[in-house]
Amino acid sequence: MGWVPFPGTLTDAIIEHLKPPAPAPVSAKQKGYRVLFYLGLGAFGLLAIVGGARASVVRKLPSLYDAADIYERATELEERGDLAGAARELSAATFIQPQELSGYERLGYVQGLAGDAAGELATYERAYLNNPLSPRANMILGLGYMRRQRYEPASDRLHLAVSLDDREPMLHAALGDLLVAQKKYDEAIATFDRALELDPDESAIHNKAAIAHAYAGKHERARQLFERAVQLDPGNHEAAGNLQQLLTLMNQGGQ
Amino acid sequence: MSAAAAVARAVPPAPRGTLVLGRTFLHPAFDYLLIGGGLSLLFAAAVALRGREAAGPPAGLVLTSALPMLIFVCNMAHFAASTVRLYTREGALARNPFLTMAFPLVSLALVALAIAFPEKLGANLNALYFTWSPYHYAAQAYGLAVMYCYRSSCPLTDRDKWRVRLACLPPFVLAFLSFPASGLEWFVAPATILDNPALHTTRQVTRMVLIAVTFLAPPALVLYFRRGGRALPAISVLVILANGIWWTVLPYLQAFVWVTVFHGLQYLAITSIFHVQERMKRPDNRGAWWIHALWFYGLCLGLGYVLFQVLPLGYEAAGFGWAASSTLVVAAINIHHFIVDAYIWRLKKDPNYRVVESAA
Repeated sequence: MGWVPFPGTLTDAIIEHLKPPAPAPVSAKQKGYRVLFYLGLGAFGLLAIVGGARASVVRKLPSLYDAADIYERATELEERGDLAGAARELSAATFIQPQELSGYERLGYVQGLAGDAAGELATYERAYLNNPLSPRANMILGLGYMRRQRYEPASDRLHLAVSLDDREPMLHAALGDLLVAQKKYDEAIATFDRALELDPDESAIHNKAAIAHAYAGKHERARQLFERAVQLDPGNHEAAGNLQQLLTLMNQGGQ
Repeated sequence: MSAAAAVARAVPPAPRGTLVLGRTFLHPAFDYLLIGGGLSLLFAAAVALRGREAAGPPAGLVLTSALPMLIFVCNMAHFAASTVRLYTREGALARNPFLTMAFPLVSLALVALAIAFPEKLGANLNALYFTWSPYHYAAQAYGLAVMYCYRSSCPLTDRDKWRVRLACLPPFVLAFLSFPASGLEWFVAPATILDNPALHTTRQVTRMVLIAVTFLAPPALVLYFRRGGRALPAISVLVILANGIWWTVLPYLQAFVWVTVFHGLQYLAITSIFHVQERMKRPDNRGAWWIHALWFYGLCLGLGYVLFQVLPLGYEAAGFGWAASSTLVVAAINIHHFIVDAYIWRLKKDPNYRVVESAA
C-alpha cells in the first residue's frame, strides 16, 4: 500500500472511493472456458479460411453449390484412375446414407473395376439389407449374383424386384438378362416384351430383347430390334456392333 | 379486498369459447402465415390443386427450381439463427458458459472424428440427426403453441402443458417408425424387421394409427380446453396441425426438404421478433426496428453460408474425405442447432418471458 496523507481521515475515504474497482476475480474454470472458446474460434476461422481457399481452387464460391453432391470427388478420383480413393469416398457415402442406392451402385462398379469381386457383392448385399423392400436394391443384388453365376439367389431377388414394382421396365429388363444367362430364351423374350410395352422408346431394352431373340434363333426379329435400338439412340454403339455381327452371321447363314 | 381477489384482478381473465385469435406479435396475418405455418398449408394445397390441372407445370415443380435459393435464404439462415441468437443475447457468456465457449470446439472436434471414421461414427451421427429432426420440429411446435397461450392470457398448468406436448408428439413417433436409416431402422436393420412378420405388421399398424392420431390430437386438445371453460389461441392449434401435416402428407424426401424450408421461415420470423424486441428495449438503443432485423438476418445469412458451404470444403482441405465432410458437417450443424435451441428458448426465469408477455 502506498503513502496516504492523514490516514483514517476523510481524505483516506475519498482516495479509497476514487480507486478503480478491483476486477472481479476470474476463476480457473472461467479461464478454462475462455481458452476453449478461443481455440474453438481459431479452429473455426482456420477451417473457414482453408475452406475459402479450397473453394477458390475448385471455383465453388460465391455460387450456391449442391453440397449434397457427395459423389463428386469419387467421380474425379475414378477418372484419375485412383480406384482405391474413389472406393473410400463411396464407401463412406453408403455408410452415412444407407438409404441412397446410387452410392452402392457406384461403389460396386468401382470395386468391380478394381477386381474386388467379393467386395462388390458385399456392397450389393448391404444395399439389399438396408433397403429390403426397394425394387432397385433387389435388382442390384440380383444382377450382382447373376454376374457371379449364382442364378438361384439372382432369380429370387429379380423376381421379387419385379413383383415390388411391375411398372418399372428396367426391372423386367434385368430379369430378362438373367433368363438369357440361364438360356431360358422364350421366357426372356416374354419378359423383354413386357419391358418394351412399358417403355417402347428405350434403346437399351431393344438391344437386350434383340440379343434374346438372336440366341433363340429368331434372327429377323432380332435384326429389327437392333435396328430400332440404333434408331432410338444412334450413340448406342453396343447395339450397332451387335447389329453388324448379326448381319454378318445372317449373310454367312444365308438368311 | 382479500389477497385472492387482488390476484384475480391482476391476472387477465382466461378467454372463453372454443378458439380465439389470440394476441399475435406483429399482425394476425403475419403470425398465422409465417409462424403458425399457414403458408405451408397454402403451399401444400396449391401443389395438390395444380397437380390436378393438365396444363402448366405443377406448382411443386416450379418451386423445386427455386429450391437452392429457398434453402439458402430460409434453411441455412435458420440454422445459423440459433447460434447468432445465442451470442447476441445479453449475458449469454455468463448464462451458458459451456454452450457458448466450450461447445464450439467440442463440436468441431466431434465432427472431425466422425468424418475420420465415417463407418463407425459418421453413420451414427447422421442417423442421430435424422432421428432427432422430427423431435426438434415437434418441440418447436410445442414451444410456439405454449408461447402463444401465455401471450394470449391462456394460463397453462403442468397437466395442460403435458397435454399440449402429447398433441405435438405423434408426428415424431410416426417419423421414428417410418423413415429409412433413422429412428427404428437405426437400431434394427430393415431386413431384420422384414424377416420378423410380427414386428413388421406391428410397425405398419402403429403407423396407420399414428397418422390418425396426428390429425385427431389438435381437435382433441381444443375440446380438452373447452371442457375446462377455456379457449385456445387458434395459432397454437395451427402450429401443431401444420407440423402434423408436414410429416404425414409429404413423402419422406419431400418432407425433409420442404419441412426444413417452412420450419426455417417460422423460426427466422420468431427469432427476429425476439431479437428486435430485446434490442428496442435497451436503454441505449438508437436504431430503428428494421435496422436490427436486417442486421440479425444478414448475420444469419452470412454465418449460414460459411457453415454449410465453406466449412465442408475446409474439412476437405484439411485432408478429410469429401463425401463424409459434406454430409456430416450438415448433420453436425443440425445437432448443434437442436442443442442450442433447447437453451435459448427457455421461458422460466429468462428474459424471453418478458418478450412473450410484452405488447407488439
